[in-house]
Amino acid sequence: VDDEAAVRASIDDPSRFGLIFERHHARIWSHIARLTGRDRADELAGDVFTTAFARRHTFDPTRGPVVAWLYGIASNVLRTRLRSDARAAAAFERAAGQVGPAASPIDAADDTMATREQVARVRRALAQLSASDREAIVLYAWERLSYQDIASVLGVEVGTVRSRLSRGRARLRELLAARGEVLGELSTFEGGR
Amino acid sequence: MDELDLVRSAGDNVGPSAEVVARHRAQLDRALAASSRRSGRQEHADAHLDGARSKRERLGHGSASRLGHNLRLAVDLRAHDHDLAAADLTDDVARQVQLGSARREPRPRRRPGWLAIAAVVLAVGGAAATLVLVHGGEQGQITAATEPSTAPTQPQLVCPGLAPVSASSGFGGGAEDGRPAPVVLPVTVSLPPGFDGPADGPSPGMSAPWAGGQLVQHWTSPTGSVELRWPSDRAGAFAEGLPGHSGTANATWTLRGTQTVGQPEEVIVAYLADESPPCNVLDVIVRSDDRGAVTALAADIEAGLFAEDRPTLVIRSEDAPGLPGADGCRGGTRIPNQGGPVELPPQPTARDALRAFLDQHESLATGGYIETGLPDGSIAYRYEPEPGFVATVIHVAERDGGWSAIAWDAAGC
Repeated sequence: VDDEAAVRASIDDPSRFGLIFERHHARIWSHIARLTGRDRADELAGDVFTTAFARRHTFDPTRGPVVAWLYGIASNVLRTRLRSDARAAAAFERAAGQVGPAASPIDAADDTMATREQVARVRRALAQLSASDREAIVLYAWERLSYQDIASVLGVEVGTVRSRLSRGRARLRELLAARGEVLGELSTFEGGR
Repeated sequence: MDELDLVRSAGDNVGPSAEVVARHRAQLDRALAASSRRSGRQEHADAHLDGARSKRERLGHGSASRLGHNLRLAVDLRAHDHDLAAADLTDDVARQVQLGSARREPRPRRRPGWLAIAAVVLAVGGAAATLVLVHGGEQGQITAATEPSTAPTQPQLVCPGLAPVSASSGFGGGAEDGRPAPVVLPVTVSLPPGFDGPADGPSPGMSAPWAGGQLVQHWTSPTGSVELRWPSDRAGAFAEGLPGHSGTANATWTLRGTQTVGQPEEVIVAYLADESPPCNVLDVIVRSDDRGAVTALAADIEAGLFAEDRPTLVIRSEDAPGLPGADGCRGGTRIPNQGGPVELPPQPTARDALRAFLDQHESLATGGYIETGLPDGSIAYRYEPEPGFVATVIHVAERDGGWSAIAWDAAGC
């Protein structure tokens, strides 16, 4: 059963919505944790699914897949909770202390201060982006959503996603360069995924 | 390695604990179980009604006081720069009564006409004069600006804790790269998707001039704009607090009117109890061609301005074999508990029902509740200011196609 069918079936048989939770809870929790820390993810990820269930009649498959719809609800829940760009940025920076860097080929022994400092630098730079640019970058780089799905999550046109990614990426590059990161050539954002 | 690679490497591989997954699943299962007791088709039909009811409830929150504000402001603000016409106030009354649908039809824009154009000229002149009278001579910090609204530079801002922001830099800069540090606002302006910004300065062509030292920023969407002005253009008038308000706590008012170019707008005046005049009054101005959209967005923004002051609504969830009761007051004097059955419009979720109830009972704690699932599928939200002492219990159950608070019990002290 695909996600869309499960949501549709849950209108007459609510228990079918459990499948959506099973498939996507961890992903939505991780997204919230990356953006705001574990505590808020523990608090809010459940609300995303009860809200989605309450609004399942409004799911429109022509606007994107179920997972994009869930990210969109998570985005609204976070926006409601954090209420401002400044608080979102502060929460984002604080979250860095609660989550670790991605697994990498670097030996565990080398996963030391240097890696953690780099993660902190990247997160500080991300925190300085506008909330809309940061959200687009995070959805693209961490959640690996397509341009179309990001547009669905954020409720904007694909062109707006492109411009936010491009602007956010350029700004990120400036900020990281100012902090001493050595970067390769800026690649273009053509086509997306 | 480019900047995206770096971002990816700063991600994480964490996941929720088994306890959290179980708790969230239980939270969802309660909603599923409640819903299962109804026919799916009936629920589908109800959902549309619920949306309307929910919206009415949300907009209805504080509507009486907001209505009172509007009526009082019709007297207080007659000389101000916003055209709070009697017709608009009448519309407000009508809207509050017939909020049966979540989204109202847009009202056709009024043509200005020669008389209206003359009124605009007078109003703009009056606004400038008001600024001079209210702020200019007395504070020596805010003066009525005569330059165009897109002033090229922003001088040192007058309000504490703010870094100067250039006209073009926006919020993105940081001290380390030589650009101004981000501004930290004393309120939270939460906007729905589709808004870009903030950009420095007033909404183009839409607003009063930018007074020197005033922080002015705006966000825009295809259908409207939101503008923040700190200190408020009305800072002098409300320096001691909003009418009917003690001035000792954060508070908001909403002024409805029509902007001088004919676009509907609402001005949320926020009083900041911790700031000193003139910085204790701030405006958030919402504009759109769709008056209904203005009202809905302004209500959301107003509700969220001081949201960070509020504690987390629910701190944990658990199950219990029966409905708990609130403890009586401690001490020698016996004060009876307060509470009883209540009837409120249904909400989409149990927590929404709790919020709707708390909106109407301002003396109760606004957060820190323990969500207690009961065998019959209903939920009790209990507040324990200290372990073992239950001060408040709010019983929420499925009713009329949604969730409603049906009874409450609270210590009488």
